[in-house]
Amino acid sequence: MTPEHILVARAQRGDTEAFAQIYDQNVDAIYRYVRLRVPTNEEAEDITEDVFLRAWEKLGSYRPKRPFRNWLYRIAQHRIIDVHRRQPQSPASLDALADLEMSPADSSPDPLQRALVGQDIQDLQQALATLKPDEQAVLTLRFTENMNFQDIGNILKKSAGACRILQHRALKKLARQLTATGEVNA
Amino acid sequence: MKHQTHFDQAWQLYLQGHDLQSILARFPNEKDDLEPMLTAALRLHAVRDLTASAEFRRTTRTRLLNRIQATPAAATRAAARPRQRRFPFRFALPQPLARNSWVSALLALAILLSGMTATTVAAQSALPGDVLYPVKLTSEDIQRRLSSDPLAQHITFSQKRLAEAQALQTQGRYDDIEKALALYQQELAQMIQLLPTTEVPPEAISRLQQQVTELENLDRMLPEPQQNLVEDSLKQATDVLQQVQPLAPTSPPAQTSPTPTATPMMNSTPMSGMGDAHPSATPEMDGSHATITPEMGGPHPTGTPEMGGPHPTGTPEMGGPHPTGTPEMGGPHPTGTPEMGGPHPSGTPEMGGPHPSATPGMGGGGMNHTPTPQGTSSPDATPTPRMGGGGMNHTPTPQITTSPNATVTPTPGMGGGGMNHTPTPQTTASPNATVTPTPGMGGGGGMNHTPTPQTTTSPNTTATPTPGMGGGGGMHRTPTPQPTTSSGATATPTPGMGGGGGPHHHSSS
Repeated sequence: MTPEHILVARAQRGDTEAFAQIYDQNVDAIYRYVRLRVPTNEEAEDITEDVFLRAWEKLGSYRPKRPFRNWLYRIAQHRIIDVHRRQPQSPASLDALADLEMSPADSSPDPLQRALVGQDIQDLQQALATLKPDEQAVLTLRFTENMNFQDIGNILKKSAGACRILQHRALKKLARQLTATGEVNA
Repeated sequence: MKHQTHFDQAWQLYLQGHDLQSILARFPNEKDDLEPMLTAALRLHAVRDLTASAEFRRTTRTRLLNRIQATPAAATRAAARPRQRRFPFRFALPQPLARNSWVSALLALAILLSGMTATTVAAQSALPGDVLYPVKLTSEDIQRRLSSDPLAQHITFSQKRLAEAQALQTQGRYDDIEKALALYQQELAQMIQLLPTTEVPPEAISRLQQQVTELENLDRMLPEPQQNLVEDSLKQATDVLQQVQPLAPTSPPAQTSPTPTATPMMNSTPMSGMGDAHPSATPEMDGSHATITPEMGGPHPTGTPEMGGPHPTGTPEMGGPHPTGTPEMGGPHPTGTPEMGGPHPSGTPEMGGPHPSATPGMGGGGMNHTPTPQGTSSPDATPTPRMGGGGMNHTPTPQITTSPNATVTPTPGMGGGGMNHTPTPQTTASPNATVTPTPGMGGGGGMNHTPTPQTTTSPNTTATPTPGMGGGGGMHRTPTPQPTTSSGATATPTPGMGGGGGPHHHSSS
């Protein structure tokens, strides 16, 4: 039994401190996954918090066959799709851009570098927003989270082969989108 | 497929520490495709260190802890919940019955079984992405477990997955096509595992060949961005086919069709299980060519569009025999395109010789017949034998007709319902062409069409198709009206008795 499984088992018995540790271990990954999929930082934070709240509520249905984080990604994916259904994507405002935070930027005293990092995320988010939810998911999980197709397939309920095809198609679309906005070659 | 592989290789190189330029240098031919994709992937990879702000982490943690302490986890709640009664229906019954727990249990069981049966039946037409589709898969799984022939089951279910993909294609549900094809690939993978211990009947090979053809067709029908969906399946199906072919005890019967010869005679000999036959005799003579095209011939039998039965057809576009059957599911319905005729022992002035190439229809009977005109003076025959329960094997012959007599001699087929058309290499184009199809003995449906050995292309043409007695489907044919200049032709089709429709015949002169 892995330390993660022990923590989850404790949380399933109602140990809130164990769940707090699970939160600490996964919050950045879930936030990052969400952040690239929604236009503003506030939305990303709201969804991230909601993912953990739902995870707590549904903890009894988790079966430790697969990594707990994959289960969280799956909850996040459903939440993102719900949000997109309720409010169609709109381009992020400059204010939202100013809200972006990431650790390299946090650690950098250079405001320009911080702004560039924020701009990059903004461009990526807008380009990703043109793709289907599954396509967005497969690209972020594959290239930002470095996951293999098997794990991505578990999260998206697809075969590894289907995820591979999906990745290829989505990446072509994303490249076209970024090229169209002059981002790739800039 | 190649691009996917190249990209995956390139990405692995990047993860191993190679820089973009050195990676691209390894793929000079794919550089233009790979560069924007790698650049996009790198952009995503660059934000892998993105984290939430420290403040967000802290405040959310506190808030979350406060909330979850007030809300026990589901697992904890479930443990604290009192156990429910076994038979919730018990108290819905009248008291005397309710007291007997057996009655309650049996009623619950009956309701459950009838509900399951209705759901299962309704699920049979479900497609991937539909609510009832998992029910369909479950019922198939049960069939699979009960079957004594797992290979046949895999072939059957792979065919179903393919049919679902085709149905989804018509609905434009491309995401769901992925699911269908992923399941299709699973069937093939399981099939491969059986191969070392299972004998592969020729029928299995021809059904796999059909699947390859259908995948190719599906690939063509998908819009460009979706075409890569089929590539994996197509490759896998081809691989399986290559693996099973050596395992067959004997070659499929349709592969024994006559080989092309260089004689000026051509015989067209439909073999087993014909779903349809298209005798076409259009008198047209061009010196040494026996031609059945309407431009030059006199009257000739012409089938009207959507006809169920056999009818002789000569098209203005084609001269030579160019039967090209395309597979279609659910029962072959021969549909002649405007450019096509049936087996035409002819050669137009533009198209010196016939290039027959036939791919099978499938299903209970009938056939799809879509000949494409190809004109060369030395036609090559490409017999592509297919067999199965109800497809059509059309193996036209390869050779040109240059002599003054054309003879088409189909023999009655005895297949399961499709049509095997195996013209033999004898074609004699003479001033007189007579096509006299006789009924075949197809079991599953469609028509068996057995033209008699005489094809007379000159001043008089007589085509007398006789219907087959298949159960599954008749024949549909859509020939174009044809100009004729020859002196006279007689077409005497007899209505077919296939389930799908009888023949319609329209003669134009």
